[in-house]
Amino acid sequence: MSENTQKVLESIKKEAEEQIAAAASTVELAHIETEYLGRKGKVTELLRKTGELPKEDRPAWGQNVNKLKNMVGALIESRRSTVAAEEEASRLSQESIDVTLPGRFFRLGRRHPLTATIDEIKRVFIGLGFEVVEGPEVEEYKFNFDALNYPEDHPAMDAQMSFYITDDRLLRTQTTALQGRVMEHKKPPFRICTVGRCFRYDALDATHSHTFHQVDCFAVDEKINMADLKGTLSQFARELFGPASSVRFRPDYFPFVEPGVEYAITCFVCQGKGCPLCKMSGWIEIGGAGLIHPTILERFGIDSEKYTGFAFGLGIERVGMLRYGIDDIRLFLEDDLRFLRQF
Amino acid sequence: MLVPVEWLKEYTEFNVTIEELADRLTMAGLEVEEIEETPYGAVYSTYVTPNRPDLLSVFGVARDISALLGSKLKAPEACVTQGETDINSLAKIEIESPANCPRYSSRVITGVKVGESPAWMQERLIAAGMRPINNVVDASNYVLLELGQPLHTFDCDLLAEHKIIVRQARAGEKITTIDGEERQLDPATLVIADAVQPVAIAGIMGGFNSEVNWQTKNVLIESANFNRLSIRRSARRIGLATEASFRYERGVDPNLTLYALDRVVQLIQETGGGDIARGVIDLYPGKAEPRCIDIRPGRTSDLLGFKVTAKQIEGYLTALGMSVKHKAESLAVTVPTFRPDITREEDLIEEVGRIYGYEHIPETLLCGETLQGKDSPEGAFAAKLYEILISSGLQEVVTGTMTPAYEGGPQIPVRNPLNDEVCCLRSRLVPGMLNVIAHNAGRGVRDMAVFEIGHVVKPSSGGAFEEKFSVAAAITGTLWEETWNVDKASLAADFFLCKGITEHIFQRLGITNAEYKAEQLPGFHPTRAASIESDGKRLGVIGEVSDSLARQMDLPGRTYVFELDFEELMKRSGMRAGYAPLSRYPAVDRDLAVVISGDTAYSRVESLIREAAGELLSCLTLFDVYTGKPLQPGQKSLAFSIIFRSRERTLRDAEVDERMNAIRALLAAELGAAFRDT
Repeated sequence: MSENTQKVLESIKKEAEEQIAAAASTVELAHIETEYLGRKGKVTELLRKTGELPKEDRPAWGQNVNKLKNMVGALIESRRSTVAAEEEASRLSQESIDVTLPGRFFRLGRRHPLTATIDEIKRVFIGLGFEVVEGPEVEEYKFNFDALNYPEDHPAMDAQMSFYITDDRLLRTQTTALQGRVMEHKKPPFRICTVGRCFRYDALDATHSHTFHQVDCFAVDEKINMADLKGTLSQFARELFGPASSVRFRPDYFPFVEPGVEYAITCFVCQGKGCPLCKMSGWIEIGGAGLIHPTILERFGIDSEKYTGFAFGLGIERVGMLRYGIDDIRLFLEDDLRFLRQF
Repeated sequence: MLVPVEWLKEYTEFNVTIEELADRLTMAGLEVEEIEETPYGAVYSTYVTPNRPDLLSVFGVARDISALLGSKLKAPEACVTQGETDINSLAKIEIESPANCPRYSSRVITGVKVGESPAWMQERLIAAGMRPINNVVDASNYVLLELGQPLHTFDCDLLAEHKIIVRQARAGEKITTIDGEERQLDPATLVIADAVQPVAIAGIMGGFNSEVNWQTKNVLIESANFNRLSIRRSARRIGLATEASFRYERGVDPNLTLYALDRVVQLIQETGGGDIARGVIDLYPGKAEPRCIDIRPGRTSDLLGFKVTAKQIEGYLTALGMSVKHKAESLAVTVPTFRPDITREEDLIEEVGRIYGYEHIPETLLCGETLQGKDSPEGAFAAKLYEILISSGLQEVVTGTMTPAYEGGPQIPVRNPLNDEVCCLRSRLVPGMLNVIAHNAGRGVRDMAVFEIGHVVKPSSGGAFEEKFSVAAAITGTLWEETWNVDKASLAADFFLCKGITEHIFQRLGITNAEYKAEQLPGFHPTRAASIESDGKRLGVIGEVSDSLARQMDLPGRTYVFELDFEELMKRSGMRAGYAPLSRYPAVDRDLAVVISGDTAYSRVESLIREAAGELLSCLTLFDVYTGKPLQPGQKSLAFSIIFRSRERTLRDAEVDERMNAIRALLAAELGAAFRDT
């Protein structure tokens, strides 16, 4: 091979090496690749010249040009991987975001704190073997009062001022009204949990509402006594207000229970030490309870010597107010979304 | 009732502090709501449950204290020195309405000097919340507080013919009561009359015409018992509640009249002198006898949950003023008439429990037969709906059952509403939803999506009511939280988002055949509302709130609502059975743009495509609805993505082409459809 041709190869090689080393982007490298190795590239052109050479020079020439071609190809590839990595690094750095900007989200639905509380309470009593039953809000007078031993026109009803719909129908003042409906067709043993809206003729203020929600449970079986009542309520208190809760009974009067009690739970803020929430007493009154009055059992054909029962009620609003620290009962029915979206 | 603590000490002793005693009383059933410090010492403000009229007197409270603390009880003395004159020569008494007046007892005292009552008496009256008047009236009020027997004093000389007749008022009669008010009477009201006119409203308030005054010499004292219902109803009708009526409504012991009478004449004589006429006029047509009830110690222990002995029972009940005799298996208890609340064994058991102390009750859990706890079917179904609706981005609200009267649909009125805002029962939930939106818009909230599950009540045939669960939602603005760099308008809710939520509900419940039918519905946009049906049964309604209603309610923008029949949904949402097996073969994806007349319903096009595509159709998705150039006016283009897939094999292009041709042919034949390139 002539020295001249050797020189041509050398100069192309040098030129290519310099260009490749200087290439700053993958695009530039692609151009260089075309310039040397493309269909009309410098190296390709050299290969084409092979035919023009004397026969004896061809193998050596071909070998050398191919060597050059492979070398340029390898240099480009090697440079490409470096440049590509640099380019990616630069792109990624340009894509940087302010991760402290607020996120975007669709607004999720939430439960109302009242019905969420109802569900929690139901869960506890279902776990204790109670069956939930539904009943009408427009209730018959006889179930709301007569069946529950309210004496005709008695002062005991002063706390149960009612909204009347007809002569003998009213908006129920207590879900206890379901006792009669259930006992009309169910035979003991049973454990029933009733939940729903109740209504009393009360003007709205921070602690009174004409519409409120109540859970009322009752159980009838052989040998049910006050200790079962206390144990059941304690279980409920521990589930809802924490494992340190206990229950206290104080005598009270409800026509449908005998003995009748008001039950209180250990104040969950001060654990019974005394604080403003419990008015320094250590106890928070929750609702009424007692053993089902035997005349009610007898009215529905249940042998009150063989069977006894307990009943207790509680106001959901009161429980909700205590648990969430809400001081105004009106918030529950106002449906202010700024309030509801906090739960 | 206000109970001065110092006064209690007159009847029983106690060595506990005032606070401790208050606590003991509260824990035994007489709630001491407050302890007030007064110039006359501490005063308990008690809440007396309606079943315990015996606690509406200082002596009655002392009786409970003595039982609680085991201290002695000393009854106030009632020692009468009678004079010579026979009472029957001074007054005549008749009861014309014995049903309303079981007992009327009376004494007369002559030559009384009316003046101020002694300081000790005045102080106690003031401490107990009463105003001193004169020695005669004060003595009667004092005994009312002390023993719980309402008493009334008449100036005997102001009674026509010195006569008392207990009768119903006559139509048209009036009386001016001692508070100076003239009051119209009606025949349902029991009055005390003299020979001419009413001189008192029985058991409620005396009359001005016969009132004891500074000139009074001769006093007739009434110690009577009246029917509680009669007094309660009269007091309510007249609008007067007094210390006397409060006690009569709850039941005063009919066997207390004579003791109280003797006590009061003794006090009047002590403070005003005078001569007590010989004898008592005591008419007692409704004689009450003490009850006799057996109590079994075994049963007592069983119900209370702790062991109580016969001896303990006897001790507590005796201390409460009952007498106890031992029988073989039980104790026979005679219950005095001042405890009308005790009518059977359980009542006695409660007495034993509350005096012994409920803190002794242990805690046990229910034993006996294992019972399966469960939610009601409605509750369980509601739980499912809650989950679906909340995951759809809807906020639960709880709106009122009592609403104003609203247009569209009959509502049941409340007979005695608090006001016009709460005068009817809701027959639908949507009006409440819209109220929530309007209310919150007024507080600056723009984007809202709310729902409720609750009862609605409608009148049904024959004057009956149909009460059932319903579920409704309302949406306005966007479901997205506040965000940045995103065009809010493009996120705004519309009819189809609202519809999408209902479709999601149906899909989750396994209801596959819900049909939406355009319908003009009151309160809705005339061309953007539909009924939803399944098997010809109405499942509910959906649509955009009408402009006029939105303006009237001040809604913040276009608002979309739906209300579904809870029970119909529940009926249809059985258990979801099975699933569609997944194919292992590739899908073939084709697009098709159908140009049709603008009034052709999408549902028609969809069902034709499904019909022609046959069983190879895997998924049909609408991705564009277009009107405008180059289409003719009145035309629209619906663009579909149609995916074919077989569960058995890889599809060949040719067979998919054949299906596509069939689709085009059917659409062209049925709807005159043309097709655009997509």
